[in-house]
Amino acid sequence: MPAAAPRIHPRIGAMLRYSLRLQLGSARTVVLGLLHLVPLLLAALWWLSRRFELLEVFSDGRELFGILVMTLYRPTLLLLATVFYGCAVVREEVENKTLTYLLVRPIPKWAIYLGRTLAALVVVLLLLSLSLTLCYAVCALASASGTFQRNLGLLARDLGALSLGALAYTAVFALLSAAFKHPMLIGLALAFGWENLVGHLPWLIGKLTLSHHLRALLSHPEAGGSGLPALLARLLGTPTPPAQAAAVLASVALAALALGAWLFQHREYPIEQ
Amino acid sequence: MSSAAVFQLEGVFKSYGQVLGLNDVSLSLGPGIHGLLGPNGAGKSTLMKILAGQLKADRGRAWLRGRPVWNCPAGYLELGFCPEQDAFPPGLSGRGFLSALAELHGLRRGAAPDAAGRALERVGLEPAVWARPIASYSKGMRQRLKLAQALLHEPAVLILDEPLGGLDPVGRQRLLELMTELVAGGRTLLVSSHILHEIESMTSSVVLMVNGRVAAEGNVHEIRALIDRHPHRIALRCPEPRRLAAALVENPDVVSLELASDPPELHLTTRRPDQFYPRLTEAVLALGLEVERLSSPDDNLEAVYRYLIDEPS
Repeated sequence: MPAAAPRIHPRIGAMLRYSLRLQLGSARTVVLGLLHLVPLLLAALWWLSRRFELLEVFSDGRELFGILVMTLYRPTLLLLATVFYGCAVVREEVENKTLTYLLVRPIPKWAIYLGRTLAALVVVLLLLSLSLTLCYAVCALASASGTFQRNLGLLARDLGALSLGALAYTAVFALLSAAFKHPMLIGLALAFGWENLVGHLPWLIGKLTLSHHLRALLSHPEAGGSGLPALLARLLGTPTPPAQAAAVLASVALAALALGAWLFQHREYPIEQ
Repeated sequence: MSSAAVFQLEGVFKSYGQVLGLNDVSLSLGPGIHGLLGPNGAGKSTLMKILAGQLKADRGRAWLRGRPVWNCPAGYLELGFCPEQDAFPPGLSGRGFLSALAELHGLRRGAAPDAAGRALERVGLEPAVWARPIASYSKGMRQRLKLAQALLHEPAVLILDEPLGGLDPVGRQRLLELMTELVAGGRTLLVSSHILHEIESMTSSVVLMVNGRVAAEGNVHEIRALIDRHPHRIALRCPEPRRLAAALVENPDVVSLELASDPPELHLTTRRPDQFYPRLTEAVLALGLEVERLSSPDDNLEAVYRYLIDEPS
């Protein structure tokens, strides 16, 4: 073993690999992986219905892809994945009583936190990007519009926006994990209460949510949502420019990461016997 | 702060809500092997977790080899900690688990499995089980794996929280031998247990904890001397115990006398063993008795422990 304290980057990398290995083999990944198949299945059903002329819904793949992004990926799958992986960053190790093994290594606590949060983000991005890319492929293959098939920029923009959203949400839920004993309940309330309901409200209050800024980055006006909150947002909301929205998401992610790392560094996490 | 101290605590308090875990604990332990004794809830694990930097003292300070323990990752280059809880990350093999931890110590990915193998070998885990999931290990194997993760980086100091718990007699003996070997190799060990003979078979340097306080500390015989309110018991086997009892009954140091029939023994108690033993020798010589066996049932940890639990200081 090295006698002196080794460099920090390889150890963050080691923490990342260790956490990734645990996350990828977890039941959580199996369940969320299956959920990420849902949009694919819907796209495949639409393809089949067009092919066999069973049902005439959505004019082309672009419309369906937009609706799937705005109604399944952004408000459901992204939030579910980031809540479940983010809230597990600290609490899973505490509940499994295995945090001790990590905390008795010559690595600063903030680096452990960073490694585990990065691992959570990597798994979320893997699930999202695989599912979204395949979904795009199905929609594009089945689409009559040749322009959509060639418009990979749309996929890239959605992937980029959802990745930035994943970063912000994972950092926020990881912060909850470092701060609270039961982060999952708070995380679910935040995700599906605050983010999905308040995010549609007009004026300033809507802008206090991450979902408002994420919507500003996603380019699907054809799938603007329905219901009263969405109608109010369309009538009264002032859109945020994409660059500003991206800056807000990145700033929130950095602030949450820094605060979470600071908390983890200074708090104790007693393991109950 | 003592420069020779390996473990040092100064006025440490630690509470869990309304429950006081440690109550003004000050302690200084040098190199060697030390036993930490006390009943469940005495504060042993809390003390060990504070020394291992897992918990932060509410008040007071703790050092390991002169270095503050809280938020000091460099300290873990020379400290190995074996926690009490029987828990491991799911889905990993013993070797996979230790390899990942070795990488956290800065070992390269290629070298980590070898270091893991050496640690597993050291605690007597057969290579055939290294690749098996930890979930399939027996209690004894998991206990050894916990010790292996503490030994992984060959630290100079080890804190072992109930390391013998749940082991069968053979496994227990093997671990005791390993601990003796570690101390012989120059390491310092702090080992906790609530089973007295476990500690007694390892060391005579003990810290006794009761109700979050250090009730006594030092050599077991010195500790016994501290408990002067409790009579010291002596058992003496000789052919004519009744004659000896008659000779000793007038001795002012004797508190009580009792004759046992099977085997024929004289059991007596004294409050001043230092003065009494020379008088006993004189009486035996004067009567021309042949003493077959002389023992002090109190001169062991069991008695000291029992007294302290009965009467916390």
